[in-house]
Amino acid sequence: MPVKTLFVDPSRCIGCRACEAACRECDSHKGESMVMVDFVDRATSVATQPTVCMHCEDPVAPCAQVCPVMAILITPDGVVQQAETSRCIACRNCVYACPFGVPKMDAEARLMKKCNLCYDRTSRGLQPWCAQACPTQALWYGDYEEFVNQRRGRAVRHTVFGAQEVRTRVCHVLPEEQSRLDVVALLKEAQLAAAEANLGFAPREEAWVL
Amino acid sequence: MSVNKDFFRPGRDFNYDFQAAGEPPMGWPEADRLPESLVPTHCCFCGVQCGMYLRLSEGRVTGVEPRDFPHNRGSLCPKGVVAYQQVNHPDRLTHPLIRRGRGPGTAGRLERATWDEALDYVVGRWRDLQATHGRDAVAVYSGSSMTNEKCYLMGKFARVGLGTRHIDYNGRLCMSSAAVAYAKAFGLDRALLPMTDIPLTDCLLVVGSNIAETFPIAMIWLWRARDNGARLIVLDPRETATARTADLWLPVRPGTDIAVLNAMLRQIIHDGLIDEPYIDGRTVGWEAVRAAVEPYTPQEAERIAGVPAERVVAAARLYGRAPRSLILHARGLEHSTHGVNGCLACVNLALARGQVGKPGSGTMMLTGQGNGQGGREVGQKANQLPGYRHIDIPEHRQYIADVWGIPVEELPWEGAAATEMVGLMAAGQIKSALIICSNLMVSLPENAVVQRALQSLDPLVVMDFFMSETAELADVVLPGSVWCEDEGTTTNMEGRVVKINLAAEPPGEARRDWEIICDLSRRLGRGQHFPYRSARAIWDELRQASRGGVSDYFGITWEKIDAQGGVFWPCPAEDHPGTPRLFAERFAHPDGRARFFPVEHAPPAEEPGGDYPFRLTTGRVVYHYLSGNQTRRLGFLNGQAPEPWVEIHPQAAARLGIQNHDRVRVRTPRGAMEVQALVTPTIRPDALFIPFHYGHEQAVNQLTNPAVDPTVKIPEYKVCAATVERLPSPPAPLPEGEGRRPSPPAPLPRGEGRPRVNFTAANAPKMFPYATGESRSPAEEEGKVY
Amino acid sequence: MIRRELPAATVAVLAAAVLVLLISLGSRGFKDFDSALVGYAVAVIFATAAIIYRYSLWITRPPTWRYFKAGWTNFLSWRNFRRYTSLIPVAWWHDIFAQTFILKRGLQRWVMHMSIFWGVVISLLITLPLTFGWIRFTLVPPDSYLFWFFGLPLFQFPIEAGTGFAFFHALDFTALLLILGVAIALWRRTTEVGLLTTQRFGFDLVPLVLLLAIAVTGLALTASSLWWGGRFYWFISLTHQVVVVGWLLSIPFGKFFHIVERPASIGVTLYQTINQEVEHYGEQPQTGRCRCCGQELPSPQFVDDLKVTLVDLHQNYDLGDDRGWLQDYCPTCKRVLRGQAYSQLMGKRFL
Repeated sequence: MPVKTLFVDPSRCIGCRACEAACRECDSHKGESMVMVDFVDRATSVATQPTVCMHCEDPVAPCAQVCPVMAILITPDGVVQQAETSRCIACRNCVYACPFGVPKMDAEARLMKKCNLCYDRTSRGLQPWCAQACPTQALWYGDYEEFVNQRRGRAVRHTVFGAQEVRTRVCHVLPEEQSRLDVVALLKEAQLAAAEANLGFAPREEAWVL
Repeated sequence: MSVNKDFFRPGRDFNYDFQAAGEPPMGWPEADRLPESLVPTHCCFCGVQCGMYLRLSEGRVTGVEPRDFPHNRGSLCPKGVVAYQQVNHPDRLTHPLIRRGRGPGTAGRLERATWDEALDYVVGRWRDLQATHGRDAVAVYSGSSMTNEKCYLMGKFARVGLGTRHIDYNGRLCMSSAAVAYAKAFGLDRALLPMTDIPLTDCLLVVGSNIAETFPIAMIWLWRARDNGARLIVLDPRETATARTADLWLPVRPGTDIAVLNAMLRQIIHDGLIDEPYIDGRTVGWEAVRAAVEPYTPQEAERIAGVPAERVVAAARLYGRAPRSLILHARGLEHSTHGVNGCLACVNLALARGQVGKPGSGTMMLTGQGNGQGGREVGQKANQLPGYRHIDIPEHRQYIADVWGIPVEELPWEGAAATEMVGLMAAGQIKSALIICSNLMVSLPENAVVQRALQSLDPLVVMDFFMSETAELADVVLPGSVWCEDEGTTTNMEGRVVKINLAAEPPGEARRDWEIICDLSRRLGRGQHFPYRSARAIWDELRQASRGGVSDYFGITWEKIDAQGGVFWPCPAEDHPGTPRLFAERFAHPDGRARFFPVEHAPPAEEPGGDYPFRLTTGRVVYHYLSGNQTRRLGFLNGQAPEPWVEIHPQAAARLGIQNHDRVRVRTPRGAMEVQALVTPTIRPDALFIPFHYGHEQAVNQLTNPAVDPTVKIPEYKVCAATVERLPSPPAPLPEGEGRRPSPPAPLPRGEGRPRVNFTAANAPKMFPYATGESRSPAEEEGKVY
Repeated sequence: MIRRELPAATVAVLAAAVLVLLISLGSRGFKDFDSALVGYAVAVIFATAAIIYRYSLWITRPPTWRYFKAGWTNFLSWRNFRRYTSLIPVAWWHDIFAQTFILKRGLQRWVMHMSIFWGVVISLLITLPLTFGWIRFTLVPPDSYLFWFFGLPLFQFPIEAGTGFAFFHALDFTALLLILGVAIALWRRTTEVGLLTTQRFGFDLVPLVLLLAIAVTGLALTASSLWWGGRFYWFISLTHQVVVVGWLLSIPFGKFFHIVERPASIGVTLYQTINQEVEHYGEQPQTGRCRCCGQELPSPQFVDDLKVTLVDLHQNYDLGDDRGWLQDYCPTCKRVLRGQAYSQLMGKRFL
């Protein structure tokens, strides 16, 4: 059976946070949201980005690897689960090791929690709540073949943070020519562009007149 | 989206926040029990009416499940997800309240009462008032966020139960200008297409609508259209989430859309992109429009609307060259003193391109309220009878009088529009009002005047399920039911009639709204006209009453709705499948042709000037619905946007020394309010934006202009002159808004400078009272305005 | 991975040998040893070896080892002595005995876990010494018993008194406690939708069934001797022995390994408090700062340890130039950095 997974496309995101609200309705963590929608920079734009657990495959689940008590288990089909309740000792290694900023920590209950890819729903053939609720398909659930048939853009599983490349089970949707999301290279580009704009090289938006 | 909680509580680390605020009444652990059954129904918020299942466990509503309904495909926005938490919400009103101890100088307080006490008191007062001051001394102010059955019943109750001419509803404040425009242009007021048609189009022109925030679920279809290659053009003073990725964003100055739309039409004519065979074959009035738009050069549009001329031309070409194009318009265009004309300008564009009546093209109004479409068809509008019949037309009056079993002479004539009622209340002509499904203290412009008007009523009767800002002023509060405590139908923004099913019983002594109305009628001695034992009985009567009307529901049975996934009206017979797409062959005017109406740009009633350099515009945030009376009580939603804010461009902010998160005071000639500033370049530098969902001193309608459109009396919420100033010191924390009256605005150092006022007493639209039959101008007569 | 496994195996064998030695000492050269319990004793020795083997492997994983070392360094540091003297007992109380963190997860869950925890712990405290021959009772005529532990006579108590009753039926009480806890657990696992769909048979349910089987067969032994005139005793006793041995050997694997792991939370508490970054029991936090937004971050030592751990795991999130490591940013900024990179790529395009 083809592997179903989530596809994340921030360009479609409208920031309605339906995913956050819907995540709370998941039976396995009722009332608690594991999805995060962030403004990229509200001071310049309304652009938002949803973040779900990317379920890293290589290196396999850094959160699980840094867990001192082996509380984070990985299912045979590659879903990185939230901390096993009996084991987690709330050391927070996972929260700060995760390259995507995903795990959440319930400090009082001493429990790390994160997206399980809605095991309770996907095991019954349903979509995860976030993708189900999402009105824009910024979060979309299906297998790779369905994606290629139904969606535009390229499903990319590689994110690069400087020296470290991470292959994930969840895909980012990028333009066709991109094979990876190289965070540092793009940030450098953005810095250059900003510097150029400040020096007056690049054309700027026409000035507003009050 | 505009904001979320990190704007109000900056620096919170999301990885330690599970957003657990807003627990369902039974608690999360209980909500995690296996649901015993799923009740198919629809969301109560907004005109999309998404299908959803409610989870039931031990007779309690414990959650929500996705329902694959044709227009929402299982998706829900955040409001829809938490809607179920209204059932048994701790804030619910569970018993009637009567104000006691009211006297000179004291407001008294609302105290618990029995149903008999409350209803007998109300009926007693009404009888006295009507005996002394005439039947029209009592008014009914209804709403559209409730089932067709209830809306229908409110119209009948006013006219048959009370015999008053004054019945109107909050749809007047919503999209009434679009309704009139469509009725004038097409002879019928309904969105022309189902939402599922949107992906068929090649070009989307969105005028004055932040669909991403107001109808997130409709974005399914917009984004799908773009996936199919459609271009997106957005007219909006703000770079909203809808506009952010648009192919073309026209940052129009608030209140000047017509100049841009007319300039686009002119450009299309000059580019030779009009569909002449279509115009000749299916429309009338083209030449006048062609002449009217000629002065609107792109440069003129730039001068009026502040949109670069090149963008206007580019928009006209993108739109004009698309084989199929669709215009979506909403409140940004419609909340205006020339709202009808704005919508007509859109219609002109679509007609000139020959788009109306084809799949995936034409125009589509985006009706806002839950049952905004149905609510305006079933006879709770001041001038309208069920089935979109007009109250001035003798045959229509006769038909409805027959259905209702009353002599036609007893049927009242046209009454005051919602916005006019306020004036009548303040003037003492309306002595008492029944308000249902409306929160006037938040929703009407210049609410200081509204408050005076409401306080002059004795009694003010409010039927609601939460203690709204309006209910706080009431003399009698009757606890009603939320949507899933009753059954019935609603008509969504597409004209699709859907079925709301019962999932819970009203809490405590609260009752279903229609039962309360029937009870009131009995006590008024009119019980024989209200013999209903179920919502279904009301529905069957409504079907009969709408039979043969413009909005013909006769063929729509509850069974057919279930079987077909909703039924589009008109549906004149039980074997008729309904009409998803309108005007494929002919329009609804008797000659089958659509009408062009030449429209001119007119400035808004109030323009910047003097000490008021900004245009203040208002709007929605995705987490709240209308007056926020429901959504502000749902923890998740309120947590995201607990208070209003003002959006201001960095250039303007820099001049005024305002920084992000500063407390500022926004002032208009009518009042002032303090809010937090969101400094962001996603708004025009000459505009300010404040969301309108909040009450008391957080209500932006303390500031808005009560000027109305001359035809349909829709207020101009979307633009008024304003100024903003930084507050010198951090303000005292806002206390919780329980049970308080809005305080009068603090005395301000008022400058000499006044904004430019374009409406004066001399040229303001004529307000009620009209002589019977006088309400319509010749143009309206001709266009059959409802 | 001979590097970790060989030493682990050695330690495990040593531990088993030490246990055998202790048994022989405590039972006075097997004189007090109850040969009927030999099966249990052998199982315990094997289980000990297995647990120690697993424990050694676990403790030498890079992240665990770092905490393990840091925990003991903190513990053995004189500078910290005054702080942890009070902290450690408090931590033991909160984390191990009272398990207040489970209370925050839910009252029902806390009652459940406390029942199971104390049921198991008290039972073990009684049965292990019995099995090893460390405990015995001798009759002191006319009506008293003498209690011996590790070959030493400790105290005397009357046969008929409550103490005697309590002693001889202690295991029945713990079995009832255990049954209560397991019943709550099973009820939750059969009614809560979340648990129903996420639980694994081997990991979550089998352990509960094992515990239940132990408690029920244990009680049945009492019932057999008291009321059934010893009928089925042999069969019940064998069954009891089989499930107990099964349970013992399952400890190093699956769910029950958390019994071995849990005390690590004391070390983590110590680590976090000593490094002044987490508020535990009223201690004031003192934190690091996110490189980007200045928000709170755990202490520099935590971040540095985490980086070294990642390097041990052959991961390197150095962003180059003057950007520092990804771990120098708060989780929100990590997401925002990715968002900014994506925005740079996409601009205002719609894919």
